[in-house]
Amino acid sequence: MTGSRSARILTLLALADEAPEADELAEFLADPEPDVRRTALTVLSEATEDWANGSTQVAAALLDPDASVRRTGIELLAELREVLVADEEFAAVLRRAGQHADPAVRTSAIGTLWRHHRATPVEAAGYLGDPEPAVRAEAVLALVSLRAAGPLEQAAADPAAEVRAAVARGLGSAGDARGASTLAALATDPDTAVVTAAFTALAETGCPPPAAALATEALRHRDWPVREAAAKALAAAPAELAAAPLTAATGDDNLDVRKAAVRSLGHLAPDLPGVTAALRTATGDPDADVRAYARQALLRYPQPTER
Amino acid sequence: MAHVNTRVDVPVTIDQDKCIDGCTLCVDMCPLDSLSIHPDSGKAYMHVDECWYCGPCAARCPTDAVTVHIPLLLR
Repeated sequence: MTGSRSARILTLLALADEAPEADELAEFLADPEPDVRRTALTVLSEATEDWANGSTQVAAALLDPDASVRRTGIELLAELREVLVADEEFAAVLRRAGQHADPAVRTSAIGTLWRHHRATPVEAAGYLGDPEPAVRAEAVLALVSLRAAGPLEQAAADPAAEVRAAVARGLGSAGDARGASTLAALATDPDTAVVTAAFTALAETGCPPPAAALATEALRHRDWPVREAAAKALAAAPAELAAAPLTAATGDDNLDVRKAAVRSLGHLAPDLPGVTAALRTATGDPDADVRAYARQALLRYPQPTER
Repeated sequence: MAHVNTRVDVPVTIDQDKCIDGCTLCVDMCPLDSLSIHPDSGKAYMHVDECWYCGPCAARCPTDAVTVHIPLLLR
């Protein structure tokens, strides 16, 4: 290694103007000084076009002994997602990083693997045993991307609320009706964030009668986000179960709950008892959004014949 | 009542011991051209008291010499 740390950094910065190949930066990426290694990573990210080699070098930053270099590696793996080349070598480095003592590194490793379609269901499920909730939550996203329903059900019993909420959101984004029973269980969770996520997800998966009963009950919950999510879920419930509770929810104290109720009522048949009347009443709501959604819903219905 | 007529602090401070003589990364990145290289020391300093608190000067400094003091109400 030639020159002082400052001189090597200046050499690196001068190299940045010449679009260096990844191999040209290898010496700096292995420098004994963390500042030089970190600068080499930023030069690599900004100046190189050689991503066939550069991708593995960015991933290898996760294994660096210095925390600031690892942090730069984590940021670059997220920032450069579009350009990184996820070959076998890249994935192998990330798998090694998945065993790192630093939880931020493990989170980044599994996150990068699944976002580059390199994670397998078995591998992602393995991270559900990680002691860090953030890693387990990232594993849940991986399992959702892989549509791995079995391990996701297992994660629904996770001790951390953020992981259970991630399961609920994941099942909602998958939109698979088979996730509804797991979501119904999560809708009785002691944590309101999980309950809110579960009802919001039931709007996407469909809300079968047992979950619809829970949503109806949740319309009386003390927290308005839960009431709002329950009103959304009822849009996907059988109409004959949803009409009465949604009609009542159009009179909720909270405008977001009323808005959700009006939007959900708009999905129901107009001949159900009370639906049209509730929507007509909502056209006089103090909130402009509620009035607008009510008017839109009524426009979709057949107009009564004028006498 | 005494009035404060001169600011004694600036939004961006640079640790002169950490700053590398010859490096101009923060100066090049500042969208307001608020940073400059001091002709005597060769180190960066804030020569115009204008800052958007955007942060690349601090984020990209190779030696963590740059600190952006973001006002409490903007954090």
